[in-house]
Amino acid sequence: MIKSAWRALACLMLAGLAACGTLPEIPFDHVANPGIKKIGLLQPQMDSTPNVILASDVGQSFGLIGALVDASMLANRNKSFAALLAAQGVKPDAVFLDDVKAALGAHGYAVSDTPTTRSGSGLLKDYPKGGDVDAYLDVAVFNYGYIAAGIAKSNPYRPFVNVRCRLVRASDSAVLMEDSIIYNPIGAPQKTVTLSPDPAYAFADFDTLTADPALAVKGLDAALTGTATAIGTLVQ
Amino acid sequence: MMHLRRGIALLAVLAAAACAHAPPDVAPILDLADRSCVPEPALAAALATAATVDGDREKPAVATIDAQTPCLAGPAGKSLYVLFALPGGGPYTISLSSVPLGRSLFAPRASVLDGDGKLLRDLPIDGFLFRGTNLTTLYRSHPGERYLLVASDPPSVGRLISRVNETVQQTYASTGYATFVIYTGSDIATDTTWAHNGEVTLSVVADKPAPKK
Repeated sequence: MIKSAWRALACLMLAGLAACGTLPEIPFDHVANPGIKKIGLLQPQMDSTPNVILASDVGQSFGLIGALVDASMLANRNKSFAALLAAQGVKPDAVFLDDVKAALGAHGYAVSDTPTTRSGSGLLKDYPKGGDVDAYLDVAVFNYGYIAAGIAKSNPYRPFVNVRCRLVRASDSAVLMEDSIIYNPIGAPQKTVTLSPDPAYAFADFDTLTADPALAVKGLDAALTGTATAIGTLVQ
Repeated sequence: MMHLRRGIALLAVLAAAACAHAPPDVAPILDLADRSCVPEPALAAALATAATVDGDREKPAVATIDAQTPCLAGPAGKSLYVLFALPGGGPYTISLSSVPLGRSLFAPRASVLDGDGKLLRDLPIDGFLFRGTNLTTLYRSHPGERYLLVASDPPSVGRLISRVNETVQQTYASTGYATFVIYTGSDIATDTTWAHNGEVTLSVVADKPAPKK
């Protein structure tokens, strides 16, 4: 429960940091790097279970007690949604990995899997040197799942994904591209790629979301695919 | 009672602040049939830009593109355009944004030119992504790149785009004895039309110097 609450908080903080411009946006310079043709895709940092977040509610006005109640409700929603995904046989991290490979392939890159050991929650600090690739792509999914701006039915649950990605040259780990992407952000972070959610996937409340598991999964897939496509655009 | 009045006054100030930056609504220009256009951009009329160096706040060049803006005739049709003169030196990270103006969003395409106005390269149209609320592309400059030509993209003009904007607002309220924060959300779809007119901004940012050893 506490872990989920921290993840939700981290998501909002990251959006805030991005809004303040503290995270760099480094565009890929294809002209200066024509030799980048084969990318080693590092196993992305991504929890296997998503979050189902209510971004504003009454509990937030009531200090620690309200926060504990919110965390408990978040944990219950996450547990239910994880069970829904399991029942559908869906593994979002595997879906996203395939989506990123497809997005890179669509821009002409050859992609190879690079097994990765991660200890933190963000991008790696050190990268493999050399290898049979020209560059490595590091992707950290800070948070994903469904989010509603508020409790009213006019604030439906929509899928969201929050990632940071970095492309480094294999020979010397020089950063070739680095950026943030949020599918369905809360607010409009300025130094971040912001993807508007597909309006086909909006659920008035959590019961509506879980009442149609197939559509809920399709919505999450659309968010993951849209985010991966944007990663592809950033390295084109 | 006095506390209540102060609370209400605070709410009024916050509400006014929230409304202060509402962008103007501008009708989209979708047809340039009656415009007479030139085949080449006028280099002498290029808009100057300045590079932001480490520590400075970005000061983007801003250009409003409207019915009075010069027109360019190209293979894809007529376009309204603005030409930016890029600063010497570099390399720079250059950020070009199309800013929504109510119902209108300038449909951008961009080309990098040399000092004689000769085309060096086009920036890919699908490289424009929304950052915040602006449609933006980032690229790295290279020696000899002196101008950035930004023109409306005729095939894109007229396209409708709907974006969902979710926000959370904080409202401070007072009972007279205690002040607390109420959080509320909103979920609003905004419809815009890609147009020949709008507003574009260009930021030119120099690399940060390497740290001293």
